[in-house]
Formats: sequence, structure tokens, C-alpha cells
Amino acid sequence: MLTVLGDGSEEPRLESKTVTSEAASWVFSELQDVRTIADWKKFAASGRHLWVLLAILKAVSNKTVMVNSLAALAECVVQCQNTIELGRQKKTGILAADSRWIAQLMKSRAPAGSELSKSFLEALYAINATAELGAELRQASDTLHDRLQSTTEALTTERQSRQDAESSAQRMETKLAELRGVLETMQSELAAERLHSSRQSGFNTVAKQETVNQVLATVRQGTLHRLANIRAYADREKPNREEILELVGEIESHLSKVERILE
Amino acid sequence: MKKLGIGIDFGTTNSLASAWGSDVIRILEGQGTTPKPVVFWYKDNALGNRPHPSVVWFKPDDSVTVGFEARRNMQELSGTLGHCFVRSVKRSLATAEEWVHGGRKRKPFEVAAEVFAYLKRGGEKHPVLHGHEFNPCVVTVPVGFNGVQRREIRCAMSRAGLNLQSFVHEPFAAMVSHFYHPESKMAALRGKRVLVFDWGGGTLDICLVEGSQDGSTLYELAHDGIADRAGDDFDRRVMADLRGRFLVRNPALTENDIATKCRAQDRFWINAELGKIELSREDSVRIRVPAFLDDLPPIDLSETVKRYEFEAMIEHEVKAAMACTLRCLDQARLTPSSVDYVLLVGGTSLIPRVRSQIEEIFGAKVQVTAEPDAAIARGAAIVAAEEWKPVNAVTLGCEMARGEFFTLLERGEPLVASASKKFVFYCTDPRDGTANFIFCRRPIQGDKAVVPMGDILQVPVATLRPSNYRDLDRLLVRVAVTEDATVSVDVMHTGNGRTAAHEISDVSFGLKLT
Repeated sequence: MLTVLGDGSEEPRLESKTVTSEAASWVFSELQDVRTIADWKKFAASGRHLWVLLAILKAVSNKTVMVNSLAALAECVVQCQNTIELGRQKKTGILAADSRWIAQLMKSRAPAGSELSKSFLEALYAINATAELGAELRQASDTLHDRLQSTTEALTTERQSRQDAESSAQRMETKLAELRGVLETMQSELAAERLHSSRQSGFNTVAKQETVNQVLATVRQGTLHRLANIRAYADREKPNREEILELVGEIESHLSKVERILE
Repeated sequence: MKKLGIGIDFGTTNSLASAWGSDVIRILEGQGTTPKPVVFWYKDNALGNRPHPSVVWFKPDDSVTVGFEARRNMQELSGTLGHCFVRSVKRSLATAEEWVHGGRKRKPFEVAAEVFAYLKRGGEKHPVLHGHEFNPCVVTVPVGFNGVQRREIRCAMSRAGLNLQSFVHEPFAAMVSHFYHPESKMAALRGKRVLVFDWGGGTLDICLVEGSQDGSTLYELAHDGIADRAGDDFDRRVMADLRGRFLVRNPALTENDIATKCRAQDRFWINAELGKIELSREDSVRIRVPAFLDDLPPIDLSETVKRYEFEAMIEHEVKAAMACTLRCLDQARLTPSSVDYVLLVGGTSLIPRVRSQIEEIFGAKVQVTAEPDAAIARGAAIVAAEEWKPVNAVTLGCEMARGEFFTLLERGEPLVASASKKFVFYCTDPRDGTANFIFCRRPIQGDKAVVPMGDILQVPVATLRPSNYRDLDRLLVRVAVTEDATVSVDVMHTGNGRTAAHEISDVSFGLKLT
């Protein structure tokens, strides 16, 4: 339906406008040729007003855009009415709010030959300048609004990036703490290893001494009672030669076993 | 860890003391030696480091000698007028036995005090003890010792000027010595079960120990043992066998000749013992006793004993020991596969036949303690220095009506003298005129099964059942742990004022390691 009413124009999709002034600009651009009631009648007769209204109504989901659009439409209508009150001026293409145009209009309405006072002209120029200043201010305000919005967006992005940086810093700190723990464990292990190593060197000496003691004990255990027996067999009138020789053989075999153990 | 703690292994045949503590570590590290508990050995020229024989010799001049000197003179002077020798006094503790010497009667604990005093004197001479007292002491006891025997040991120690810190079972101490590390302590036993098979000269002691998962406590799950069937008895059997062979070889001689003419009993004993030890390494051993009989010329004893012959002599005891091991496992409702380590302590456990039988049951989990003679004393010294407190290892209680179990002493409660706990019981069945306290234990933590301990305490109550009989048969029970690590139960009938008391002495030890 919009395609039919718009006469092939592209659908404006006001509801999707992020900058609200864009919707008002679209309405102004659509009604830029409508200056008077006659223009409005012609405009309405062509059915184009339905195209504008429908586009505004479709923006119902975005209330700000819709309100701004309606305000722009109302401004245009008021402009048409004002044009009637100032006289039925056929001249088109000049904004009703344009003070330069008003001044020219008043000049043209003045009777021929009559001189307008200097203060009147100065007032007109003042009005003109004020109007220009207002337009510039509006433009500056729009620019500032846009800049504010972009700054807010930049701020949000900045905040997000800062949060990311903070979380990454936190992660790094956790990692650092873990590494510190690992380092401490490794240091304690190193200390234990050093202690073990120092003890090991002491232990070797002790182990050697213990081995010597063990070997001595084994030798003693296998020989001393046999030696005592040899003494007892020998220390008599008729020594028991047979047993003494057997005992000597046992001692020899015991010592050879000890040697084998040592090897 | 304390600066110094003393451990005493008061054995039937031999005794030994040991010291451990931060000062010992400092001294040994200063000498460049690996720190381990110092043992106060007897230094024998012939046999090297030996434990002190638990032989006490009362001389005619009233002086007393203990240890090797007493043992050497025992055979020669025993029975001589004025001399009195006491051997294996530990077996006589808590009996009515007495020794008369110099017109004075001596009780077992008085004789035992001489052994403790001898160990104290020997220990105090050691350089490690310079500037320290020979106190406090942890003393090891066999698993089968009851409260009265423990009390006698405490009295003997007190008489010898020693302060008792706590008791610990002998195999338990040996296990502590084997698995202890100065830094990690007993971390090796965290969540592990160890069966300690301690078969030495006097008794067979078996205990099953479990380390808690958090490593804070060691619990003795079960213990069992056999008295009078150990190395010394095997020595006597070998000697008897040799005597028999000697008589066969010399048919003209009789037992009476041996009794009257044998002057070499001590040498006979030493040679028989050494021969027995050698049989653990050799297939056969020739045992000789020159001048066995004092005659002209002297008659020698020289016999060959084969290992299988010796094994046949002790086969019955080995079987009994294995049955005892399995019984111990059964008490804790465990199987051989659920045991992580088996630790062999004592010379008798190293006999090949014994070791092979143990390995047949437990496979390759068997370990042997280093220096088996000193392991028990070392373990006791570690317990003393670390100040590990004994705790109750098995929940004790009594059986109530309908088979309910009432806990009197929880597992993990300290086994040190403490304030008594009070309970009130009501007799539900007074028909036989007594209220019966049937004491039981709960061997498995978390399992409801209880095992009666065989201890029953009977308190007289009113046999009639008046309407308010509950008030009449109200029994006030006081439960306390004594200084001798026993649990005393005193019951008073609040109606008739009658009292009864009982002492539970079969308590399983545990150690709180923190």
C-alpha cells in the first residue's frame, strides 16, 4: 500500500531511525513544496499526505520518532496557516520562518515611494540575524546531540574495554599467584633436595661404617664361638685334632661366604 | 617434638632402651650422621652390639647385677648358697611368685625394677643424654598383657625412678620404627593396613594396624599372640634333641650324668642358639660343645642338625602361629588381600619355614625390619619424643536388652587417665537377681556387628517386680580410663546401695599422631 501511496518512493522506515531528527527532516523534505493552504489542498488532493501520515503511523513502535515526526508535520501545517495570515503570497519555496523572506515581503507590501524607517530595517536585520542564529543554534544543538551520542557510545565502548582489561588483569594476577605457589613449592623441593643431598653425603659415611660393623658382626658371629671351641679342643692333654681341623674348615668357608657378600 | 624421649623395650629374654628427640637429631646431624633413635646397646667383644639379657643376679652381699654379667654367671652359680638368679621376670608379673634372698622376699615387680634401674644407669652414661634426664619413658608391652601386668610394670618403673608417659604394644612400636621418617612422620601409612608379626625370643605378638585416611591416627584393629612358644623354647628343643642324640651316641651315659657332670650349660646354650640361627642360612649345621661332660678325659658333644629336622621340631608352633595370624585377620573381618604390608619383627620370624608360610598367605607384601633387636625400643622412643598420645582403637560398650549396643568408650577417645563418665541404666529383667553388664566391642567402624569380650559384670538387684521396679533397679555407672590404660567400670545400685566393679584390660591401642 505504501508503495502505491508513495508513488514508487522508497519506504522511509521511520521507526528504525536512531537519530530522531532524521524523521523530522524526512517530514520537512516531503512537505518542502507545501507553503500555503493552496499547496496543502493540492498536496492532499494528490493523496501524498496519506503516504506521509501512514509512514508516521507505522513508526508507532518508536514513540520518540513518531512524536518528532508529528511535531514536524504540525509545524508545516502551522506554517501554511501563517502564510495565509500574512497575505496570499504566491511565492513558494521560501520558509515561513525565514526572516529575510519576511523582510522582503514587508518591503514589497509597503506603498511605492514610501520610505521605511531605518530602525524598522535594523529591526528586520536583527530578526533576520536572530533567526539565522536560531537555525545555527539548532544545527549546533543537533551536532552536539550527535556528538554526545557518539561520545556516550565511545564511553560505553571504553568502559567495556576497561572491564575487559580489568578482568584480564585479574586473570593475570591469578596466574601470577599460581606461578608464585609453583615457585615456592619448587624452592621448598630444592631446599629438601639440598638437605637430602647434604645428608646423603653424611649417610654414605654412616652407611659405610654400618656396613663395616655388619660385616664385622657377621664375621664375629661365624668365627668367635668356633675359635672358642678350637681353644677348648686344643687346651687339653690330648687335643681333638679332627674337630679342630673341621672347625678351621668351617671358619674358612664362612670367611669366603663373607667375601662373596662383600663382592 | 620434644628435646628427648626415652623408649624401653622390656623383654622376656632381653631388654633395651633407646632415645629420640630434637636434641638427638641436633647432635647426630652435628656429627654428620643420619638421625635415627640412639640405642643403648651392650657392647660385646664377641657378638658386637647386643641387647641386655633380662637376668637379675642377687649376690650374697646384697648387691644386684643385671644383664650379661648375670647371664654369664647364672649357669655356674645358680643354686649356690647366697646367689639368686631371676630370669624372664616378665613372665612372672602379676603372679604370686616370689624370690627369697637374704631373708627377704622379692615380688616380680621389685625384680623388674632392677632391670629398669639397670637400663636407666646404662642410658645415663651415654653422651646423648648429657644434660638430660632419662625421662619420660614409653614402655612396650606384649599384646596379651592385662591391666594388672601393666600396673606392675608401672610400679616397677616408679621404683626405678622412671616416669611412665604411656604404654604401647610391642609390634606397634616396631611398626612405628620401620615406617617413621623424621620429616614426613608416619605419612607412609596413610590409609594403609599393616600386619605386624613379631616373633622373638619370648612371645609371638601379632597386631593389625590401620592408618586413618587423613594421617592423623593409627588404629590397632586387632591383636593376638601366643606366649611361651618362641625362640627361647626352640633353643631348649634343640638342646633337648642334642642331649638325646648324645645319649644315643654314648649309651653308657644317662640323663643323670648330664645333670651332674655338665659344667658347660652356658656354652651349650650359646652353641645351640648360634646353630639354630645358622640353620636359617645353611641346610645343615654341626653343633659342638667341647668338654660337654666334665670327665677324664672330657666328653665332647658334636652333632649335625639338618634344617628339615629343626623345622620338624617347630612345625606345630609354626602352624599355631599361622592360625593365630588368620584369627587376627578374622577379628577385624579382613582377608590377607586387604592388608597392604606385612612386617616381620624378631629373630624367630626370620626362620625360613616361618617366612615361607607367611609369604604363602600374604604374597610379596612381606618386609623385614632392619635391626630387629632394636626396632621395638626405637619405636617406643619415637612415640615418647613425638608425644603421640594413646587412643582407644576399638569402640567398647555393653550389650543391652534386645541386642542393642551401648557405647561406653568411643574409638579415638584418649587412653589416658581422665575424669569418669556417668551413665544411668535400668535393669529390665531382674528375674535371676542380677543386672548383667555384658561388655562387647565393635571391631568394624560403621558396622553394627558386636563381639562379646567375655567380660561380664553382675550387680545384685531386687528379684521382685513391684510396680515401681524401675526406680528400684536404677544403676549408676561410672566409666573411666586408668593410668594403666585399662577401662574401669564401677556400678552402684541406687536402690540398695550395692556396688560392683570391673576392669576391662583388653584394650586395643591407637596413636594420635597430631
